[in-house]
Amino acid sequence: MSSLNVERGINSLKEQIDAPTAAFFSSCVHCGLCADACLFYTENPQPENTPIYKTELLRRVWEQEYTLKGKLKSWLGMSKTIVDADFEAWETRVYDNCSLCGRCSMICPVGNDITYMIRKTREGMVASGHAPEGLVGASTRAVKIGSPMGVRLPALQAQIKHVKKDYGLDVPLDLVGAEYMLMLSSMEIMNFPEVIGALAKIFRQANVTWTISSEAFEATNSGIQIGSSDIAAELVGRIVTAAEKLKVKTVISPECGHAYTALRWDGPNLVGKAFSFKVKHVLEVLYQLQQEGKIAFEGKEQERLTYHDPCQIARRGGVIEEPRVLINAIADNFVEMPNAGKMNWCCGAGGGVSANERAEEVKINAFKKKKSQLEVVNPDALVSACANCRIQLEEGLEEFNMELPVLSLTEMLADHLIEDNPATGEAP
Amino acid sequence: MNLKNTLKALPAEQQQELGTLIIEHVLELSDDSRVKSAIAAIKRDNPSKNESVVLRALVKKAALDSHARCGSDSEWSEQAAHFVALAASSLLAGDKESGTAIWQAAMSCRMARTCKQIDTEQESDKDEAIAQYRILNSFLKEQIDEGTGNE
Repeated sequence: MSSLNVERGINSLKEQIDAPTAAFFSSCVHCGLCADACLFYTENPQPENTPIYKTELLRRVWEQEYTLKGKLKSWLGMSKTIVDADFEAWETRVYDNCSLCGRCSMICPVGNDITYMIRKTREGMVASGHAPEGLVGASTRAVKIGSPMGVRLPALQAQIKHVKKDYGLDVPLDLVGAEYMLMLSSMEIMNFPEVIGALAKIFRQANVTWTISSEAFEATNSGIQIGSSDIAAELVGRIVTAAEKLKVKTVISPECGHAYTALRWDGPNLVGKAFSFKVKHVLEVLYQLQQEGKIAFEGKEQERLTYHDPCQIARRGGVIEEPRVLINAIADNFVEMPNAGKMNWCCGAGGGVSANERAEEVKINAFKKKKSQLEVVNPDALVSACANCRIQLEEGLEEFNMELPVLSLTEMLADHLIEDNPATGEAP
Repeated sequence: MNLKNTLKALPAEQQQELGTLIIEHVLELSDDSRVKSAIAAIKRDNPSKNESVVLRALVKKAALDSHARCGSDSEWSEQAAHFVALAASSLLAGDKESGTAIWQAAMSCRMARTCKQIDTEQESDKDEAIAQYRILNSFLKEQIDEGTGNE
């Protein structure tokens, strides 16, 4: 690795130091509580898996460049200069062993947003050329093609055609003035295309106008995952342009975790302006439609159901009550796992971990925490609202020989929807 | 005739028999020996409940091994194979009474065909829904013929 890349990495880390970051490092009391909040530490208790330690390169830059103590240490030759080997060592720590789930930030007694700092550390990792191959590929495809998985418009159109034919439902593309613009993740388009039919059915019953943009349908933001604000801003910008062009009132973030964080919470700051539209998670929209009496459900599930809160939607996004109200509308036997809601344990595959093949063993090991949560309530089915979580949950359950269906809340709601005038298609 | 309702109305044994025929129609989209051998076993042996559990574990693993990974470059032919495996997994699921399993299998077969069409980037004359109706008609006719002794 060239010294130029190391310099780039260090400069990028310098650029990340802002007032909150400086305050966080200044106020860290080295208590180590963040360790026990992190499933990558609890399931593999090595010191380097402690969340705050994952930010060590950023801390060193902060100390050396912005503190008197650090400057004196540098002057006396006592500072540890960051070299390429450091970036190499930290690559697995900040990518493979962190899903940016935010649990460490919740537990920090002095209120440091450690996840935010790890996210910033990733900026330096990318600049130094030390990011996982899978995430680099996904980011490249996202910028070039518009999808981290290379899903192009004809593929989406083929899935829409399937919905139109089998469900007898319309999926409007590029409808100007629609109330809602639905985003989708490539994971949904490829693995769970049924969700398009489910939402078409619900929106039809609710009698709301909606559309999908042919120019920006991808919700996934690889820039957030890899840690490149430039890429993240480019991807958010495309959605903003499409939403403005179609003059929609609300953009719906789909059953995808970090897409919601990227668009709703980071989005305006990334593009440097306030949005002319609202951003809501699909569960917020479905909850609102239910509360307004535009949709209702029938036929309650009798099986014992539990809900896995996707970290970015619940802990980082605040969508905690809505899924519970919706599940209780269709189920008589809903049970909560321990630590459910804002302190839920991550599935182990968020924050780009699932796109990083090298982390396969790590993420399955991290699933043990979810396994222990499930064993307490022993449910008949597991419901969630993130395509990436669903895949990880299925793989984890398979690995540990647990027979448990993993269901999409949106699809379940569509199954239980009361329809005044059902579509003519065969599909549910 | 509505395929979904007709499938659901069939007795469990016939659902499995017909489901196998429906999956066989898209089996060319999968190279996975686990899926092929499971479908062959269902057709040949009419497996017991315990045998079905073993077969289902095999095809479920095949489905998990072949789904698209988050952030990976899309491989639509592989995704077609994934849906074939998923169809087999649905068919072998325990729930036969509600008819959900066979309907899920039929839908997964349609998705498999859609994925293949996306992979080849061209419209195919193979419409899986129409094919499934044809398979159903032929199956029902056979049942009637058998019932009336007109084999």
